[in-house]
Amino acid sequence: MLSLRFLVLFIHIVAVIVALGGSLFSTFALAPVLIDELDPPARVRVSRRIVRRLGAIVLTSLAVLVVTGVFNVLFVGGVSILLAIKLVLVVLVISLALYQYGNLGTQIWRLSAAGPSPDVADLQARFRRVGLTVGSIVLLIVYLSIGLTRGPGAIVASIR
Amino acid sequence: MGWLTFVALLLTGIFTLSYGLGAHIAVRYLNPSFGAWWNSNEFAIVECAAAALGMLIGIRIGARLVHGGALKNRSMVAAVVVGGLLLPIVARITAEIARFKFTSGGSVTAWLIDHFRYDTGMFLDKLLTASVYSMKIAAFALPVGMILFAVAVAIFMTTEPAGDAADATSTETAKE
Repeated sequence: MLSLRFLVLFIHIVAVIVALGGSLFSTFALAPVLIDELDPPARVRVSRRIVRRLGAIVLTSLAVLVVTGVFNVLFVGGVSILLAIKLVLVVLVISLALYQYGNLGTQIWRLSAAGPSPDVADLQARFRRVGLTVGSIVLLIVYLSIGLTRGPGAIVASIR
Repeated sequence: MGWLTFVALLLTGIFTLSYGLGAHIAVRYLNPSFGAWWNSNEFAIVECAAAALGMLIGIRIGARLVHGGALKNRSMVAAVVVGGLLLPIVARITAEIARFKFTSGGSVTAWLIDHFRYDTGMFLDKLLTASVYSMKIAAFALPVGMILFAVAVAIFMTTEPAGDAADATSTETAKE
């Protein structure tokens, strides 16, 4: 139970939970409450700060995911087709997250400094759409990961 | 960045071809001691150059996705510096992963021997294997480069003071 392999796997799973959980909380819990409870100037002030903080958390979680993922591949000792598909999806997720926080998030941050505007609302809508796409792909990656360890062609089982 | 990527691509190409073709013999013929050095180091240079190429491509892809000149430039420089420091470790790990199921496959070897006869077929097989190995290293290093850039973006994003946002906006927009 207390091996380096388990520790790396634990950190890997925690990073997924943090990245996915943070995005889902922001999209489905925080954003609707902000719309209901705050007037537009206050809402923009709060949401622009959240975009930054969440961006740092999600991008750092993705970094932890990649590093621990590399170690997981080393521990497993093989690369299957399923794992190759997963790696391609990981690159796609990193690209979309960078676009979401580094591009849309930065534009929201800059434009919203002057207060609410139609441009900011438009960017926020795009930000949410990209976030939902990232979340969906991450869920697909989680499903593929289950296939890698528990499915009929599980690479771990074949090595044993 | 363009020059660094070009140098990494050139080194990967030259040393992969050299390893695949056994070109150290030609270098030994011209300069025996340099040829011996070339032969003993070409494989390590293939691994390092391919990993560097993958990371640089990853950083450049990441940079294309980010808005804002100052944030992009600072993040790229930081990612390249950290990537350079981590290069020996990244090259070693990605090379190890690239060696999993490291073979061009019996069927490909057989096909090459069938079509080009034994000597040429085996020669082409070694060249193909070396090329696939380099490409696999670069492919595995690409997400590492992207993520280094992403972490740099996250750090520089959060260190920008919230109160100075309006000033930063006008200054950076003017620069762009």
